[in-house]
This record gives sequence, structure tokens and C-alpha cells, in this order.
Amino acid sequence: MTSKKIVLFLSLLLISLSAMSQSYTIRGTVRDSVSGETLIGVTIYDMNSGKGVVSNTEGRYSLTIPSGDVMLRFSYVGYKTVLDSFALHNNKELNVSLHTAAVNLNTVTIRADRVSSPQSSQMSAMVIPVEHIKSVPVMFGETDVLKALQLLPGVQSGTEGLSGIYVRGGGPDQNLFLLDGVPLYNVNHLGGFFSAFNADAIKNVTLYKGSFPAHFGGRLSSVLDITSNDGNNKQLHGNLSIGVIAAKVNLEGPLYKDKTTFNISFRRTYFDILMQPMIMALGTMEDLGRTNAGYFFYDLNAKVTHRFSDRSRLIASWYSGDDKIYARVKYNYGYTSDESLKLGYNWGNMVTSLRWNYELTPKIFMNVTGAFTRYRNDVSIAIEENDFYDDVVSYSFMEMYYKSGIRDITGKVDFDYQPNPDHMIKFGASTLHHIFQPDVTGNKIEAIEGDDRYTYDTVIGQSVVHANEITLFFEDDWSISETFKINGGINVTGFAVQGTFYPSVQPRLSGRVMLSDDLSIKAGYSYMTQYMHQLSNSTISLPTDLWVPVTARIEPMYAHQVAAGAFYNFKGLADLSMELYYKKMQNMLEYRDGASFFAMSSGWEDKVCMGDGWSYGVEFLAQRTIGKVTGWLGYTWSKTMRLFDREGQTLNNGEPFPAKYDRRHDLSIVINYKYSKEFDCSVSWVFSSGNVGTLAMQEYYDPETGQTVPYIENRNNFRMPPYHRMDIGVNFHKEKKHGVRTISLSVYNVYNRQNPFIVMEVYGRHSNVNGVNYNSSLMQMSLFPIIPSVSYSFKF
Amino acid sequence: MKKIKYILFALLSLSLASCFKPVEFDPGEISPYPVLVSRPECDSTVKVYLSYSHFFLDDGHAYKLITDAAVTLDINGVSTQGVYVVDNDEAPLSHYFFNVRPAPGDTLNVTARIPGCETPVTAGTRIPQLADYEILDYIIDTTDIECCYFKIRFKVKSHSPIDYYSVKFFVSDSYDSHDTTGTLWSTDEAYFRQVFFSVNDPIVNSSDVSSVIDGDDGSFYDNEMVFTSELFSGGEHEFIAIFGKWMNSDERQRNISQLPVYMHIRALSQDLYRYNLTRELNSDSDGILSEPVQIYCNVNGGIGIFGASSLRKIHLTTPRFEHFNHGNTYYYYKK
Repeated sequence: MTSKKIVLFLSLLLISLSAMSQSYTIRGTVRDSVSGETLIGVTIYDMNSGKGVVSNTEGRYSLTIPSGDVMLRFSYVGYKTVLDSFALHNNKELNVSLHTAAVNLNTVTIRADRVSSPQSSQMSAMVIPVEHIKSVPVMFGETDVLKALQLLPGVQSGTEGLSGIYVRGGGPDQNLFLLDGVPLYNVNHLGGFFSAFNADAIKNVTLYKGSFPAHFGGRLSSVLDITSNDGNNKQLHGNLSIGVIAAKVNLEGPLYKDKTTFNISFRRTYFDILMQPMIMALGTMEDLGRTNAGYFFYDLNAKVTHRFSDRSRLIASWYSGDDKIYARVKYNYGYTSDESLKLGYNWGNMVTSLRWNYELTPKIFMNVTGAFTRYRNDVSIAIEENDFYDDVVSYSFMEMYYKSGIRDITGKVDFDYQPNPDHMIKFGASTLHHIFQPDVTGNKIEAIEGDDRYTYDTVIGQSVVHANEITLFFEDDWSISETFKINGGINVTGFAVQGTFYPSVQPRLSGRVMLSDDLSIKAGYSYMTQYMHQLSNSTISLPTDLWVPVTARIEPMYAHQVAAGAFYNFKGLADLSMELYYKKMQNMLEYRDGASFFAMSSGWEDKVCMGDGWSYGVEFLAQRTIGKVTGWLGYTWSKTMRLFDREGQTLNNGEPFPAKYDRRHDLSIVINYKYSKEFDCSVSWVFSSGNVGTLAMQEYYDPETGQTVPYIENRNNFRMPPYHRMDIGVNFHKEKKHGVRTISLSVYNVYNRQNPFIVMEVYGRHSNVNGVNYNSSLMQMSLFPIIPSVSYSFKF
Repeated sequence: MKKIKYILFALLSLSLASCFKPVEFDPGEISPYPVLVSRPECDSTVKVYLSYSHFFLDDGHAYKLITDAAVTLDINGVSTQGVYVVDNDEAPLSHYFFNVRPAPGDTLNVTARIPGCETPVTAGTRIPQLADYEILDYIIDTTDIECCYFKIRFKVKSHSPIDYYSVKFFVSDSYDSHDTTGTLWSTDEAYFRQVFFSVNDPIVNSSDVSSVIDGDDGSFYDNEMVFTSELFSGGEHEFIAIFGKWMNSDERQRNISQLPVYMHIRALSQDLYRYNLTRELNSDSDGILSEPVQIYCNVNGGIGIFGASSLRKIHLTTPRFEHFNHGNTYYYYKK
């Protein structure tokens, strides 16, 4: 079909949809009654006509229904349901505020049309309420979005304690992290032990593992869509928190009442400050001169929202998060000379965006976004010397640095069009200009002695690589009848880099059949394309991990995924689901045998080879979201394989082998118990099959070289012992004059399970009657024993 | 209060528990493989070593030799039966001996029938043609009073689509020898020492191929350079190899240009090339920070290597020209 025919078809479809009936439109915004924060995903349902919609990411809704008596029901998890009845004779603006529900909600039935509920056409997706994320017990008392996600079926952690996620057999670089719609590259702090998302700044988290709606693209395995808080529009509120390793502050409130709000959150670790006296003392003891060294990370989220009218809003947001390692040593040699050494290692993201929401008509909602993203990774070491001898002043300065990073400039426009309650149409376009700087190494030398001066300044490394990515998408969430609903769409992308253009047309389709009011079956297909790779060590997440674009040699990655499942809502109290999936991936990258992770960008294309992969599995989830006892039980059985058999790019002799994160079983149980307003507690337990690794199980002797030769029959032929761990957390809340004080106690790894972080061969020697012999044993290293922690927070 | 103390003590004890512990590993069904190792050379008799592999956590000296196999070597269709030769000094060097001398281009197939093994162990290889080379320059630089530098410019010509080579250099050296009691027995025992050398070459430095030859920076420094003519798309290519040697007082007195230097260019079969390459990658591994390496194996019914080579030993001709520059002497050999 030519492009003209497609445009004509779409135009006819839009016209016919809008002319379907003589109806009126009710539109408005749904907010939290206390904070005024807009609520995403609220179900607005007319009980008379049986039509309903869900509020969008701006909390706006638009429901077009026939004129006459209307009985609207606004329902949302954790909030009291609101009913409103009136006669509809013309278009109507209806803004609604929802009140938080009391704890004992188990008598109230809430039928939220969450993305994972039986009613939605979307499958393989979950909305995770921030309160649930905060209630999951965590290490060092630091709430962690990614670690909470690792407890969901289909989502696996990399290695113990790391924040990286592996979704349905995909690698950690196959996840798209969107913060207010803008991609984020580095989502970890401390080499992966903590995620970069500060839960205090977050309003909503939605994870898509498959059946991706057409408005998402760019990664193969998952989309994590995070929306940050707009800020309270009524009065100033805040939250102060001090934990074992970090302190956090969150402030929100109106800048101009009912018009402009702000929300700002800041988190910083203070290990370096606490350790400073010890480091200085150590420097003195070791005769190192004045020493100052440490490590910290911080993140700052800020958002300002201005409401011109109910139809128009402007949102400016900022995120920056960095990890910094620093060391400064200064020697003084009497009065005449001194020498100083400076070491700096910084890595992190900066994202800034400006978004304009405008309601073009009661049925068309527009979003225009401009954004800038920067991911950087800088290392520098500098030595400076000053000398004064025999009336001659000499000075020398030497600096070496290494830089890598990406800068993205994004422009996009997207529209939500709801011609009638049966159709929710999204369409839009975006353009993304990537500036890759895979690595730059520089040297600066300056030496002055008397009147002589010598300078040297050179930069070595790959030049900047520019790439352009364009995307067009169209999707329609179509309620064909009470029973049938489909979500179909298409995502068309193109990527231009170094004179090569890679186009991709990615169809998406998912459908739902309601078998009863509470039971549905769903199926979906999605085709995804990814134009960039992260070159990283698969054992541990290093800040030196590089993002590189596809090139003329390295082609884009593609994935086809099909999924099907059954979803059941048990008496409004719990959601039960079972999903089957199969995913086929092409042009995956793996390192060649022996490839080192150091100096990755130097000839990186030679260190990797391209191949295929596939993953299949079944996921079960039982989730209870209301009542005093909430939580979930998730179980995944999966198998993930790789095949690298292309000419010159074979691995494992061209035979299939398990992917590094292939795990057969993955079970997680999370239980939260809210006993009263003053006390709540939670417990989580996880169990998973051990990670795989490669071991040379056999050895032989080569008499001609006199050496022992290790023999590896297959890649990833060894499975580590299973991983399991239990964490508990309790929170004590107390109402104070100006707010609520919370003391949180948590214990990570309650029964001190020594889970393997890495397994290595250790050589030893022993003596017997034949003399001294050498043999080896297999040792595992564990990272985290039992870790109790405490944190204090005050919310006002 | 007492209880809290006990709880705290228990928690502290657990926290300080060692984070290392042995992994219990049951070798279970991992049974040893027959191992065949043999590197037939052009115009040399053939030795085939047979043993069993062992589980990697077993004692390092647990290799078991296979002494009762029936081993045949087939050269271009003509079979020969191997004779087991016991090495009394060093048992692992005991081997099956074949009094045949294969020539370049010969196809070799070995079959070992081991009692107790249903499937015979088989492997095949082909003796490669001798390397075609040319020495273009040979310079000895004695600028440094304690050390001299050797610079050899040579050309390798490839006649097949892909050829495989290994290059090594040897210089004569001497050492003091001692008897078993530690008493000095003699000084200046002459021997040939394999040297480490560097190659700084446009091919080696190009990002496309550097990783195939050596490390990340493209420059080569090792005691053996294993490469393939694929790097220069067949045809011919020039390399410049440089190495240094400390001179003892005696050597400084003598004319250093007379110092014997040998270059070994070994043409390798593809099997031996891949085996050597994977062995080298394995030994250069950065541990957990690099991917593991599967050592190449071309033995059916077992593991090991059966790879052929043809060696040229080149005695580098004494430089014929002398050149004085700022009081230093350079010795040249130029074609």
C-alpha cells in the first residue's frame, strides 16, 4: 500500500469515527484532593451507557457519550470512589478530586482499569504504585524502584545487589527508561547497587514487558515509564529523610496558587563526609601530605508546572544525577616547593525537558516536548608541581583525561484523540539527534622553568558520531464490544548514522476477550527495533560501560515477541494472571572469546560478534492491592538461549548456549501489612535459580608445551547455587504537631544467606607422601550478609 | 536489655561471617575424555601423545597416560602403525612414534583405538607449504653502550587465500651454570634464547585487525607473533620487528654484528593456528573482567589438537655495511 493510500485510509477512519453518533463530551482533570496532584490511570465509567475511559498521563480525561442521564464513577486504587450523576445535554467540563481511602478498604470494591487488569487490552504491563515501592524492604533503607521491579515476574536481577534488570531474556541495555517521557541512559548509582530514581520524586511507574503500545519504541525488552510529581498546588509540603548512607529532602507546593506548582527532591550520600577525618588521619599516618578523598552520589529532581487554563499547561523538569570519586593529595616540601595530585571520576545523567499540554478540542489532547539529555563518563588525573630554587621559579602541570558520553536533543509531538468512548487514538512523531562520543583521551603538559616554557596538548580518540532517529506512530485502543477490545498500531522509525540509513516498520497488536466480568484472555504481538548497544561487563555494572550506536557493520537489533495470557479479578480483592511468551531476537551482541572489558571503545566492533537469541517462559502473578494485607506472589519459569553461528562470528562452536542471565525459576513473595495508622510492616522473599557461568570442567596436559590446558566444552556450562533471600521492614509512624514522623527499621537478608556474587577457582597446595601437590577448589564470594538499617523521615 | 545485647551480638557475628565459602560441586557424570596431542612437522618424524583429561578440581598431577591404544597414521592414504615409546625420564613425554616424514601438502589422518572406548579417536590435518619470505633490512643499532637493538624488516608472501604463520626470534646468549650443590661449574654457557620483540605496523595498528594480533593499542609485543594473511588480504606484507639485547662486557668487546640471530617462520595449518590463538587468548585473559576462551579442538571422539606446521629456520646474515654517526656504529644488511 502506498503512503498516499495509508493517509487516505487514516483520514477516512478519523472522519468516520467522529461522525459515528450525536453525543456530548465530558472532559476534565482528576486530582488528589489533598495535594492537587493529577492522577494517572483513573477509571471514569458511565454506569448508564456502560462506556468508560482512563485518565492520561496529565490526569486529563475525555468521555463522549450519548445525551441523557449520566452516572459517572471515578475509581482509582487507594482512593475512595466518587459517583456523580447529572443530565448531559451539552459538552461539560468536570474536574474531580479523589480522597485517599482509609486502611480498611476491604469492604469497598474498587474496579480500577489498570493496565494489568482483566478489562484492559494491554497485557505484559504493570502499574506499580509508588506506595508499594516504598513499602518493599530494601538494603540500607534506600527505597529503590528497580529493586522493587525485580520482584515482579518476568523481571530478573543481574547479580546480587545490582539494580540492572533483565526482562524476558533481554539484556540490561534493552530496557527503555523514560523519565517524564525522556530517555535516561545511566539508571544506576554506585556501580549498580542503587538505582538513580528517587522514589520521593515519583508519581507513577509503569513497566511494559511486551505487547508494547505503538507509541513506545527504541528498545527490545521493556519500557519503564516513570512520571514525576507535579507538586502540591494547595500548600507547601515536604519530606526529610535520613538513612544509613544517604539523606533526602523533598519540597513541593504552589508558587502561584492553583496556577504554578513546584516539586524538588534532592538525595546525597554522606559516606565521604563521615569518612573524611579518617582519610585525613590515614594520609597523615602514611605521610601522604594533606589528603582528601571519597565517593558520593547525588540526584536532583525538579519540576515546575504552570497551568494557563484547564486546557493548557507548561511543565519544565530537570533531573541530574552523578556519581563522583575524588582524591586530592597535597605535599609541602618546606616553603619552596609543593606538589599536588588530583583524581576525579564522574559519571551520570542530566535530563531537562519542557513540555506543553494543550487540549486542542474536547476530544484532542496535544503534547509537545523538547528535551536535552546528557550522559557522561569522565576520568581525569592531574599532577601539579611548584618549585622555587636558586631564584628560579619552576612549574609543571600534567593532566590525563578520558571522556565518553552521549548527548540527545529530542523534539516530539503526540496527540490523544478520543472520538468516542470506543476509540482511544494516539499518534505523533518525534526526532532525536544523538551525539555519541564513544571515547576521547587527552593529555596536557605545561612546564615552565625560568624563562623556558613547554606546552603539549593532544587529544586522541574517536571523533564525535552524529546520528538521527525519527519516529512516527499511530495506535488505536478500540473497544469493539463489551467482550472484544484490541490495541493495534504501527511504529515507523529510521536511524541515520555515518551515511547508513536503517528503516524499520514495527507493527503492534494486542487484544482482549472478556469471558466474564472478571475473567479475560489476552494475546499480543510486538516487533521492536533497537539502534544502540551498551558495551558492558556482564558480571558487574561498571561506570566505564559504553553506549555505542549501530554502525555499517553492527546492525540494529530486532525482536519479535508474542504473548498470551489469562487475567482474573477475584471478587475485586486480588488480580490473578498467567502469561506465556516467546521472544525471538536478532543481531544480539556478545563478546568474543577472551575479549577484555578494558579499553572497550578501541576497535569495539572487533571484540563483539552478532548472533540471535530466543526466550520463552510462563509467568504467574497473584496480586492483592487493597485491604490491610497487600502484596503479590510472582513466579516465572523461563529459558533464554543464544546462537552465534554466523561466519567469522561463531561462539560455542556455533552451537546454542544459555544466555548469561538464563534462569529457570524465579519466585518472589511480597507481603505488606498495614496494622494501623501508626504501624505497618512488610516482608519479601525471593528465590531464583543460580546464574550461569563458564567453567573449564576438564583439563589436559600438553606434553609439547609442558602446560595444562583448560577445556571448556560449552559456554555458560555451570550454574551457580540458587539465590534466595528474605528481607523485612517495619515502619512506625507518629502524628506530630507539624507532620508525621516515621522511623523505619529494615533487615536485608534476614537469615544471612551467602548468595554467590561470583564463583572462582582458587588454587591451593597440599602435601602428601608423594610430596607437594597443587590442586584447586571452587569458591564463591558473597557480597551482602545480614544488613540491618534504620532511617528517619519527617513528612510535613 | 540483656536480650537486646544477645541479639546485637548474634547479628554482629553473622555480619562478620566470611563472605567466601567453597562451592560444593559434584563432578557427577563428568567423565574423562581421551586426549590426543600431536603437531606433525614437515620433514620430521611424527609423535602422538595420548592421555586422559581429568576433572579440573582434581589433583594437578592426575593425568593418566593411555599406553595400550592402537594408533595408526594415514598419510595420503598410506597407513602406518605407531609404536609406543616410553620416556623414562619424563613419563608424560611417552608417545606413539611414527617413522615417517611428511612433506608439504600431505594430508594426515590419525586414528587411535583405545581399549574400553567404543568410538575411536580421530583427527586430520594437512602439512602447510613452507612460508615464502624475504629479509629486506637487518640493522643492529649500538647507540646504547649497554644494549643493542635489532631491527629486521621482512616480507611474507602468501600464495593461498588464507595462510597462517608464527614468527619467533632467537639470539645467542650465555649463562653461568651451577652443579647440584650450587657450586659454579662454568661461565658463559652459550645457548639460544627466544626473545620478546615488538612490531609496530600499519596493519597491526589498524583498528580492524589489531585485536586479532594483539592487545587494544594495536602494537605487538610478545615472544611469538601468530598471524594470518587475512590481515593483508593475501598477497604480501612487510613487517618490522625490533628487539633489544643487553650486552655483557665480552660482547661489547667483540663485534656485535657477528652475534648469531635466528628467525623462525613457521607456516601453520588452520587447526594449529586456531589452537595457538585460543591458547594465547586464554593465557592473556583478564580473569572475571574478560570473556572465557574455548580452546580450539579438532579431535573427534576426544579432545586435544592435531595440527601441522612447516618450519623455516633463518640464520640472519651478518650485516655487511657499517655506518658511523656521532661516534656510534650501525651495522646494516641490505638486499
